[in-house]
Amino acid sequence: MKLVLVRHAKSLHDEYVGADIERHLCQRGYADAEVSSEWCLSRKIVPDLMVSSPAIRAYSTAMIMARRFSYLPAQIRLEQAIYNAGTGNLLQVLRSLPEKPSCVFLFGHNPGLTDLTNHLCGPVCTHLPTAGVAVIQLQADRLSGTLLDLFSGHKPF
Amino acid sequence: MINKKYFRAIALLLALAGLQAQAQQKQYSVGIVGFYNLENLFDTINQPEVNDEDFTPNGANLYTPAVYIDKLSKLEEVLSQIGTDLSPDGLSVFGVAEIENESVLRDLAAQPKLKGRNYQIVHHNSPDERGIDVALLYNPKYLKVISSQSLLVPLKNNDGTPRYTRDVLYVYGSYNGEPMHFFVNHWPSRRGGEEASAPGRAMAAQVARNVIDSIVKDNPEAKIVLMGDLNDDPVSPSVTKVLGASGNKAKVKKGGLYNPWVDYYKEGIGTLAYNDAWNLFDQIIVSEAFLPKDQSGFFLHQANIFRKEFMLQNSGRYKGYPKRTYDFNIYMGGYSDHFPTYLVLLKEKK
Repeated sequence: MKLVLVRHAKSLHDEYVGADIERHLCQRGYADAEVSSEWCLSRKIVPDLMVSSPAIRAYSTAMIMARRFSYLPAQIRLEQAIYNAGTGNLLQVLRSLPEKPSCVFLFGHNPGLTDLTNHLCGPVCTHLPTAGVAVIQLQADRLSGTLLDLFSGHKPF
Repeated sequence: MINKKYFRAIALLLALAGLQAQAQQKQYSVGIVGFYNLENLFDTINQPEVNDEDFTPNGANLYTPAVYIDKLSKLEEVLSQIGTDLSPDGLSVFGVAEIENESVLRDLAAQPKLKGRNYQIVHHNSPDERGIDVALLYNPKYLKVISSQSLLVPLKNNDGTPRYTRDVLYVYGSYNGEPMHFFVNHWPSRRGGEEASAPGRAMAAQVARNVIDSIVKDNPEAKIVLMGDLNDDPVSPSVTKVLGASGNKAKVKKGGLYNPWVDYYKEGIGTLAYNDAWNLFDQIIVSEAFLPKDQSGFFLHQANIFRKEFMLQNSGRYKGYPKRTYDFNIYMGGYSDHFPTYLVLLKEKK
C-alpha cells in the first residue's frame, strides 16, 4: 500500500481566537493545497481512499485536493483519532485501514506526521511543512516503509 | 408683496448660481459596481459531471436553444441599463451567481447591448452539487485584474461527511488606479430550513472574513467590496456577527464593513420575494475606507436596487415579484427571480 501523508495547508494564526479544531485555512493555504494537488497529479499519485482529521484546516485541505482528483468529498473519511495524534495513535489508524486500497491519503497535523514519517522510514524528514506531502511505500505489516518522495508545498526539499 | 416676491426670486437665483458654482468646482468620476443572481444561466449541453439535466432540451425544463437565446437577451436588457443614468458605461464591475460555466458568460458579454463594453470574465469552476458558479465580469477600462482565487467553503452533510458548495471568489485588482479587493459569494441556500442551514452560511461568511482580516491587518484602509446572494438578510447573524457588517456608519471602525442594505430591509424592501415577504439576499458590502467623502479615491455615494416595471410579474398571485425565468418547470419568459443591486461610487476629479 502507498501511504501519502499530507499536512494541512497553512491556517489562520495570530489573528484567530476560536477553538483550535475550527481553525480555517488562511489565504496562502488555499493556494498551497492546489500546488500540492498538482504535484501529486504530475506524479500520478491519486487516492483510492482519503482519510482526514476532522479539524477544519485538515479536511479543507483534503477537500481541495479531492476536487483535483475527482474524489467525492462525502467519501473522505474523517477520523477523530488523527486530530493531534502522536505516532502510536497514527499507527493504530493505519492498522484500521481496509486491505483493498492501493493508495491512501492521510491528512493530519504536526508533529504527528513528521514523527510518523521518521518512525516508518528512518530519519528522513526534519519537519513536514504545511501542505507538505510524504509518499511512503508501506510494508505489509504497516509498521515500516520506504520513503518514495517528499514535497514541501512550494519547492522540492 | 411684490417686493417680497422679487427678493425671493433673487434669492433663489443666487442659490442656484451657488450650487452651479459648487458643481463646477467639483467634478466626479463615476463607478458602477453591481451584483446579479442570473437564475440558472445554463447552456443547453448536457455535461455528465454536472447536475444540469433539467437545463437541456430534453430535460424537465425543456431548455432549448431558443429559451437560452431568449434568456440571454433578457439578461442583456437588464444589465445594459443598470447605472447608465449616471455613467454611460453602466456597470464597470459586476458579480454574478447561478451560472453554469464561463462559456455562458462569454455568450452574455457578446450580446449586442453589452459587447461594446468589452467585459472580461474571472471565473473558477466551483464544485457545487447543482453545478452553478459565481463569477466577476469587468470592463477593462475600469479594472485591471492582478490575481484571483477560489476559496473553498468546507461544509459537512448531516452524517458528518464533507460536502461542497460554491467557492467564494476573491479578485484583487486596480480599479482606476486604486487597489481594490472584490469577493463574490453565493452562500448555501435555506433548503432544509433557515435555522438548520444557517451553519453553512456562517461557514461561508467565515471564509470571506478570514481573508478580509488578513487584508485589513496589512492595510486597515484597504478598499474591499463583498457582494453576493448571501441567502441571508442584512440583519442575519452570518452578516452582522460573522462578517461583522453594520448598517450604522458611525459604528463601523477602521477595517470594518459597512452594509448599506440594512435600512432598505427594515423598510420591507428586498431583492426577492417568497411567501409574500421580501428578502434582501443580494447585498454589496464595503469596507470602511469607502465611507469618507473627503478622499482622493472612490467613495460610496449610493446603494440601489435595480427594479424596473418590465422586470416585474404584472399579474396573478405573484404580481409585483421579480419576473422569473421558470416557475417550477414552466418557462415564464422573465429575467431572474432576483433583482440586481448596485453601488454608485464617486471619485473627485482633480
